[in-house]
Amino acid sequence: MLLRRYSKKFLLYASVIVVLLWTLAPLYFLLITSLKQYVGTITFPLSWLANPFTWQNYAVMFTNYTQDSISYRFLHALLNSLIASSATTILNLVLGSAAAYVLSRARMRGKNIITMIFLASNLLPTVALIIPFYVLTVTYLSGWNLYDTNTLLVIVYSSFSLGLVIWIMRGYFDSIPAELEEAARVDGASRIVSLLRIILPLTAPGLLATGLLTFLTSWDNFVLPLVLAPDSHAYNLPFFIYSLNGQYLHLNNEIAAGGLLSAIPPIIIVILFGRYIVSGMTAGAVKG
Amino acid sequence: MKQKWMQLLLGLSTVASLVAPASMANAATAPKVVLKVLYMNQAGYTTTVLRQMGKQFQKEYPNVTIQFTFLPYTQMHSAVLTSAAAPTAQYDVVLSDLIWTGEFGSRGYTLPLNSYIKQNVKNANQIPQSVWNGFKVGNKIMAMPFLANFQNFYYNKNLLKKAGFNAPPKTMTQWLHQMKVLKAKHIVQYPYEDSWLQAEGLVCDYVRTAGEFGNGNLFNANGQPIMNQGPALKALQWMRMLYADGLANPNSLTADEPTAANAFASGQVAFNTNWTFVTGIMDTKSESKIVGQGVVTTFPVAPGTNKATHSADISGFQGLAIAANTPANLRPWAWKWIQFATSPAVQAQHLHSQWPVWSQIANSPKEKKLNKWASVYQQNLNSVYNRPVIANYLQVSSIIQQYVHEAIAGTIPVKQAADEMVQQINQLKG
Amino acid sequence: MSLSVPVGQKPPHRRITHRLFLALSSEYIWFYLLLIPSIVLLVCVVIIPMVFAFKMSLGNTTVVTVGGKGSIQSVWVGLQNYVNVLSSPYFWQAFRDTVYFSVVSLLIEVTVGVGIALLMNQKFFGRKVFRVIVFIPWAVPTVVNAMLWGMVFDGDNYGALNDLLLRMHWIQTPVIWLNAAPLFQGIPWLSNFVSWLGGSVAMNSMIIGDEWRTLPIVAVLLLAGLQTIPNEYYEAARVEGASAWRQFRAITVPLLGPILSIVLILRTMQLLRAFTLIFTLQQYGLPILSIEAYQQAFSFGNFGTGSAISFLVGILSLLIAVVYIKRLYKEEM
Repeated sequence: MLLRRYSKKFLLYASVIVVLLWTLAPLYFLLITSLKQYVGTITFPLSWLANPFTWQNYAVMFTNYTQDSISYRFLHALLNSLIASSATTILNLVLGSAAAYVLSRARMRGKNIITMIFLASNLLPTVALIIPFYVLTVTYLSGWNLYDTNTLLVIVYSSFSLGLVIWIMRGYFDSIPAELEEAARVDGASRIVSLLRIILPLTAPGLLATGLLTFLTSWDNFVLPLVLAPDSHAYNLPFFIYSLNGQYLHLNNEIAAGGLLSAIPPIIIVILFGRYIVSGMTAGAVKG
Repeated sequence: MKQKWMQLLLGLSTVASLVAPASMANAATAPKVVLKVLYMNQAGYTTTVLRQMGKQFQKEYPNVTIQFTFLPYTQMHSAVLTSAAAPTAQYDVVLSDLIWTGEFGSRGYTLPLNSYIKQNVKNANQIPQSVWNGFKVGNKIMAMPFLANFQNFYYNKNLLKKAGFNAPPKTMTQWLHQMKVLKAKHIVQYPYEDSWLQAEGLVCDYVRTAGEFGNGNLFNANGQPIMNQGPALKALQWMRMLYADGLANPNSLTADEPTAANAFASGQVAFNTNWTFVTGIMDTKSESKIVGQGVVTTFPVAPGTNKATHSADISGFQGLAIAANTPANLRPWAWKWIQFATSPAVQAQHLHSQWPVWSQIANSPKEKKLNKWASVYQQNLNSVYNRPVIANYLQVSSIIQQYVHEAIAGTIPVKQAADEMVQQINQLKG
Repeated sequence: MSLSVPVGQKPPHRRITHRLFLALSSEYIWFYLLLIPSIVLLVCVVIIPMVFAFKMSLGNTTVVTVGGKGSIQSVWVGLQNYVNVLSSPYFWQAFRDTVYFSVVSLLIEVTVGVGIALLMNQKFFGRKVFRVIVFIPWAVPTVVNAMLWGMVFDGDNYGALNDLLLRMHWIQTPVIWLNAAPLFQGIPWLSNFVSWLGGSVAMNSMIIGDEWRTLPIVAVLLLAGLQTIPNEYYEAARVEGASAWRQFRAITVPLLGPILSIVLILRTMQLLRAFTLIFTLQQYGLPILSIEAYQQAFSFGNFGTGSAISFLVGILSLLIAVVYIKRLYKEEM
């Protein structure tokens, strides 16, 4: 019996260690690669310490700021990623939660169908939309000069998050009893005021979760900038990392450094707010 | 430290001002011209070199502002396509890889430059005919040659010496023998690595190998595909043999050019056939473990072939072209820029970064002093074969890539792969 | 409920007119106005492009530059593009590869994903930290993940995985992880069968690289599902002397089932649109459907064919989406 208990414990901790290794070993490898000199990445046998060591790969991302330098492109990409992701998040939260509120409260025929259409739109594959987006932007709408702008990216990213925001937020609004609002409105508050002052604070966890999800999805987007904004005006971090993989040298050490830097914001978000994101997803998209 | 932060802040504010909708051009009072130029992020003529050229040009023509856009190679073609689809060109001057010549020429995405060249380019014959050919569709010249990239045969003299060879192979038989000895003596696990990833680089290596066996023509004079006969078939058999006998590193099948260069620079393989950038890498301490060991030479060829050149190479030329939807008032300026950037005078200033297209500079004492392999370079450049100039090249290339890859990996027997390749390409046309 | 409800300060006689005003303006106009921007956005970014894509797919659509003006022109060919696509061996190969990629990924998620979720639900030292760490790979951007696994699967002996295996003497020569070579080469019939299904060394490497990033979210969502199962069920089962396996079969599986199926449907759709990882590491060497569509449009300039393929993928996705949405509504009831 004792033996069985110990072997069970052993099995438990062994599995924990295996999962930890599987999760962390690639990250560790990325970290040491980012701290190696280039020759260290093509040496056999491979060093599993950062050997020969250098900070240079991180330094180039921030110093020697001149036109076209790596730091120039990195900081541009960082700023573009921040702008596009934040703008998408704000736009989607404002539009999405407003729409979700109406779809939750209105006594309106077909509101379930509308919600479903929104949700379905969110599930379309990127390729199904990217070809028409591209053609429309460069031809019929070319006068608007949208190609290669953050504006275009924000609009297009929205097509891949608005549905989710509406779906999740509707779930939150549905869970708040209408009586709370009625009470406020009896006291003279208009619908908008009651929405802003009473309902929104109650749905804060939902807003946080959907906001972060939208931000993470936008931050991660690669295909859309690849096709719609490859130029220096709007290209984002994933595209920057991709283009570091130059035609004449694979600077794995620099790619690793840039990659880790661009992964830091989402990693922090996941560590700090992971629970909210999961509860948001389970409350909305994955009704459980 | 503080300075660095200031730099960063400064940088960020510049970025912010750039991202904000700029309207610099509108504010100008004098009739100004903004020329939008699409160029590739690459070694040799780097973005920095291009900016320098741009500044020089603007000194000469103060009314012209050049706006550069730099993209990775994989995005270049679709960017030109985008630009051609817009009512007015997004890029007035585009860098044109020679493999797009057929498409751009036959579909009219860029303008023929014949009249410009005839009027303005002196000594056009100083650019080798092989270079001009890369940019010709019929009689139309679709781009002005800008840079002459081609491959070299690289070997590691220390490894060869260990195997008992004091000279590089001159014929395919010698090369095969050297590789076998290197492997048999366990000097290296794999003597050779090439870039056979299913991508454009594979077609380059295929055409070059066919060239080494006689000629690099994948199509005959009537435009019929001929991969299932003659040198092209021999090339496929050769590549398959190197892979099957363990003479080529199997990683070649997933390697692009930089990966193959890495293998050579790490000292893992003795031979590499690659673009000229390897010359710089192999002797750079931070990028190579074989400093001083790499040698550049001509390609071995099958006995009795390539008698005039004693080498066989593949072209990777790039030219500058004017987009067909560039507004008429911009076209003369677009040409002025092209003429400037491709001129012998400007190219002579950047000899350290790129092999020039002009023979008189390539043969100049300055170049010989800068590049100790200059005569080998010249010989290799003179022996280039071009990939086919056809309108649907990218589609044909994708079929070639697939079947050559499968033939090397052995999933389809060589002859069958060649036959199917020909059949698929014929179907494309029909 | 301790809620501070703002107290109206207007006198009663004005409140009636005020409310009438509200009924007219807020209720029926302002209220619905909140919905309109989202609908406009949906029409602009989804519906119009989809209709436009369909229109393009019915023609031979290419870039044409005539008389100094560029445009994209479509010559009507009816359903010819769809006929061509559906009769092309490339399409079916891409389809098969997409299916293999999706099915194997899902199998891994059902087994390993559930396993990790169960593990995270156990009581052990450092469980809280463990749960956070397991979640991290999901935050790594897809492109970075692709680059990372490109380095891990490097086919030279200085590739990370090859280096490890060579050190441990598990392999004698480096394995070319990203090459589309057949698996199980020692056993011909198995090798042929797996190749026929679309499995190759490269394909399975892609799946592993992709799973490193996606298993965490699957496991964490399933954990959330596990946590909703009341502990009493297990206690009752234990009192009755049910084995761990029996508890798993009788309690966990049925109660986890709904959330599992929804996670899987969502993942299926994600897998259908997989692009970044394979495009970054293989370019066009492993043409799953989305890459095939991309290549047709942006490399060959055949926007009609590209649209046709992406429209087919879209329809496939929508069919799965319908199953998903039905499931969601069933859950709600």
